[in-house]
Amino acid sequence: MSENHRECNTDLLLVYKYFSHNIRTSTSTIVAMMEAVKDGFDDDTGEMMELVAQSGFLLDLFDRGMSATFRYIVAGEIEKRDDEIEIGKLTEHLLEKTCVLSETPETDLELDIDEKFKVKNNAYLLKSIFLIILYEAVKTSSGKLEITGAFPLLTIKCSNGFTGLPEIIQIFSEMFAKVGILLKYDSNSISMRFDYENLDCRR
Amino acid sequence: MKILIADDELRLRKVVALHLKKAGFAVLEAGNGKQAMTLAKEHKPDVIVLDIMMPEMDGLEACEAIKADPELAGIPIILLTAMAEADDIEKGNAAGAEYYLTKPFSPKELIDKINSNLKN
Repeated sequence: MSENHRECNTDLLLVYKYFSHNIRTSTSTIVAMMEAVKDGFDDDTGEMMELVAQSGFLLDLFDRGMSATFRYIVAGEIEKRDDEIEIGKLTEHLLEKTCVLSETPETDLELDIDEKFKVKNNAYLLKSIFLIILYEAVKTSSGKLEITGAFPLLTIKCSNGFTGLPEIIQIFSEMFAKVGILLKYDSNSISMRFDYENLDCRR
Repeated sequence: MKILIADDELRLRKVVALHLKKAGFAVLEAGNGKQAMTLAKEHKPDVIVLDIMMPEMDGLEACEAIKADPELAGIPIILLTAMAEADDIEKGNAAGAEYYLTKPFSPKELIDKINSNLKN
């Protein structure tokens, strides 16, 4: 087996583990919610059904993310597209659909994204991988979370840091680089710069 | 009877905690392995349920740390795994976990496992 094949297999395993875990977790949530509703556990069925809907949204998100990531690893390329995407609306969409700011109740969110922050890029990729990164950032943040953006830069800063971003973020970063998005992350911030100058669509 | 459940997915934790409370258990919740360790030391639960993939300290690391602590080593640990692969089970065995539950699971399965652990 060549070094390239080995590297590809390692990446595939990492991707499979990450997405399998998240898809199975969301499925467990839906099963547990439905059982709770069936058994009449909770007075607020509406809230339970809202949580089922959120888990359904996440299932779809992880399924699309897995598909995009597998395709990238196997084909080695990402299709360049010129779909128009509004970054502020996309960010708000995720926050509305998941509705859970953080594990830490005292986390507060400051969202300030220029409404003119629009990019032309691969919408499928952004609507899956971008949202997954945002979801992970929000989920693992503690303290004050600031999401700010104006073309060409989106920044997510967390006052107490992220408790841990998944290992797969390195692969996401590689995928983004192919469509001109420079992803940088450390324990306190994640930034995405939409840079069309350095496009390289080969893996 | 106190059950500590650690999973970074808030929605799942919330609904599993609801099922456990309805089954008569007191429930402690943690969002990662490090928080689980802190709560375990503080409250000495009767059973600990750990998801494997969590930020900061994962379930396997937390399991090892709990089993290495003489005051906590006797607490049964149920690991929640995404994959029932030999590799995960071997790692769980090496970390000292007593039982596994593969996601997706039903809360009834978890409660059965907890009850059988408590009987033993």
